[in-house]
Amino acid sequence: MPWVNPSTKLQNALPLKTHPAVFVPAAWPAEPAGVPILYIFPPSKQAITSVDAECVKYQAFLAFSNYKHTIQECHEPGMSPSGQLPFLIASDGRILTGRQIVEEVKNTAGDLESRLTDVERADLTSFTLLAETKLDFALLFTLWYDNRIRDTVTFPMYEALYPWPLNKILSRQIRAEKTEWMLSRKSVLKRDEILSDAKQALAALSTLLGSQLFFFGSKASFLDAVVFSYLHVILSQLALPGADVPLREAVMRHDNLVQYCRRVFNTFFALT
Amino acid sequence: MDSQPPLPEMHQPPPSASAAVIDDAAYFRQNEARRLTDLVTSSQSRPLHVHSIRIDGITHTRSTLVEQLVSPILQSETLGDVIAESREACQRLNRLGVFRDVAVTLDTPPRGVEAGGAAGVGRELVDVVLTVKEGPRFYARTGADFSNYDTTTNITTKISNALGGGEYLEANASYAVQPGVALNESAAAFASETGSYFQLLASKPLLPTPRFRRANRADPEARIEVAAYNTNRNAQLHQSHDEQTKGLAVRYKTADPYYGNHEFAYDVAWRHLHNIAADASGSIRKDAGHTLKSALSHSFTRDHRDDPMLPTQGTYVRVREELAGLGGDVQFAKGEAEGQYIRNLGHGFTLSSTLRAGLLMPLPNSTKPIRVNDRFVLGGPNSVRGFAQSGVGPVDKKDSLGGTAYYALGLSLFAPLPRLADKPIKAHFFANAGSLLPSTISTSTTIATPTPTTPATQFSTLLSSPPSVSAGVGLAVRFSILRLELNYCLPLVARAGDRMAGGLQFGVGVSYM
Repeated sequence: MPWVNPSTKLQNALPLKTHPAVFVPAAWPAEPAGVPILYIFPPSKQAITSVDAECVKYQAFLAFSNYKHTIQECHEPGMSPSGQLPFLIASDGRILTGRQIVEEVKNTAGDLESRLTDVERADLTSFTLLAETKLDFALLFTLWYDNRIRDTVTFPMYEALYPWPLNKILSRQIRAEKTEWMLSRKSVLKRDEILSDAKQALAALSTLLGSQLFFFGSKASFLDAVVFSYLHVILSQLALPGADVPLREAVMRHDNLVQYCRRVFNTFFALT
Repeated sequence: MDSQPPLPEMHQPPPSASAAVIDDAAYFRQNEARRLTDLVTSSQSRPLHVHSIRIDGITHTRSTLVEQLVSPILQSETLGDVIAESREACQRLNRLGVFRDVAVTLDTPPRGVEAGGAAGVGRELVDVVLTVKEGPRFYARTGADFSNYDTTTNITTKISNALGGGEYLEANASYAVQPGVALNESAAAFASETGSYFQLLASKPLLPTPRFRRANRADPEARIEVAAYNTNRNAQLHQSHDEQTKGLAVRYKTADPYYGNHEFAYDVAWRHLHNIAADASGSIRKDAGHTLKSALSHSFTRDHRDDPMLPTQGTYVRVREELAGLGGDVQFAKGEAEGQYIRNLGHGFTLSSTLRAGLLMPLPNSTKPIRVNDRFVLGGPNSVRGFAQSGVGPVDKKDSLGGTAYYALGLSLFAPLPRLADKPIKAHFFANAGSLLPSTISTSTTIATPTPTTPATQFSTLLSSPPSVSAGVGLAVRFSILRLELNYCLPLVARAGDRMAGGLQFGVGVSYM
């Protein structure tokens, strides 16, 4: 016979009248249940691809994998459990970021890389790493340290999100964070060195691509998502009328990469 | 004797209910005091002019300022004037907040003065000597405070009379920890820090130009303040987030013990909702990020209770209005009111009744939703007892979402305890009721379509929906700066979703229903 706290007994014995809840929270996400949602940094007006390379990367990966989902815009990285956009709300309500998204998509929509040989897998890993370090770094550096880009593209992009004077503070704060991140990778930020690293990476990627449809034959892989995201952002965001942005020029030199980027965009992200 | 100016009327404290027995010595002293008063009263209209004012003991305060404050004494024509104006001058000096002690002495001027006086022979002259003592200029205090869910350590340093005109600079820092959570919750996900607070404040008295025969009461005590602050608030326990606020505020404050205190403020606050818990509800997650609130507010407080912590009679009124949306991205109008009426039933019994209500409206052409950090919360040992802290009203999963309209009622009977009738400890019987509603009422899981609400419809919904009710019995103890309560609570009516805290509930705080 378990001992029952007399206080609990008394509480249970007395009548408690319960009314229905005053408020049932709207299901979140407020979408048809079961459809996963990818939260991305807002796109520019003309496109459905985000202006943020990391978000484009996952948009592309989901599109390549034919993973059924919807897109929501969000400019608060704080909403994401990792503090970074994008994040995915899976059909069962789990909130996933980064690698977890890749795993989730592989498990539900099939593995894009299952047909690759071991050599190709090794290439995929090393070229992904190459793009995610060299191209990412060069893009970040150009966005925050190319004065024209910074003043006409990057700052306005962030400043549009918040009211004055908070927008001035926050955009500078983001720049400080990015600078700190870059300095944690390189002790000195040299424009020429960063650019030549990117050029080498672009040359290597151009060679790997050759005249193929995708990097590993006729089907897209995660590497395609990665490279497309950087190329697309570089080509679309860094286009300044009447000014040459070195990183963009470096991409433009590789015809096959430009064609590739255009083709992927038209196939997967063209507005219908 | 008839044309004498009336002495400034003083606000007498209400006569004590228990008249003390007056012994012989006290009777004699009282008699003597009355005799002196009579003497002064009877000679009030005696013509008397002030020859000079001397102020002793000023070191840091600007002498021009002090001179201006006491100058009306010079216009005195009778003894009554001299006394009344000196008293008023002392009060004015006290309002500066820099003197620890102000005393007045009337003195005869040195011989030969009346002969040389050009204004007229035969005039009687007097010297007024004001002896003041300046308080310490530098002040520091450390302390510990307690409230329901945390303990706070704080430090205050203050430089008073910084520029010689009663201005002060103050820095406050406090840091709160949550010992209960740290000890009881096995999940280390809760940081034990519940918040920190830092404020830099500069305050300056606003002094009206003193005029002869004008009572100080006519101009309420006023100060203007500029403050910069930074607060961190941990709302993980009930709302799954942390909030950091950095702000600048300008406040104009007036204080009048009888007519009440007003505060007009303009506040710009940068709020950052961050550190959303992994299992936070979507309603909280949606509100993550930065917002800028720019708001005008006014609050009025009038406290006529005999003891704010455990009163036996009096009334208390507090009203606050806030309008956010002059710039920034937060737009709302908010009003909140609280009234308390306490009646002494005799024999140590006290009946206290409290009503609180609040309404929060988005501005007419605003598209921004009202966020969790602007909404009201209800429930807990200091409001509707018998429910958990913020436990009444809308919830999503485990998070209290807060609401945009609420009311709460409290009725408490305090009874003396046997053998402890003269101690600040009372038996406490209470009944509380309260209701907190969201702006959109949805009773199904489909997406709520926000219907335009007016204050009238919000209030009618509020009043027509049944409140959460609890009752109970316990002990209430007054300490110098706070009240402790230990109650056995029984929730009687609740809504699905309300977090109840039946059984023993412990309350610490300064403001109760």
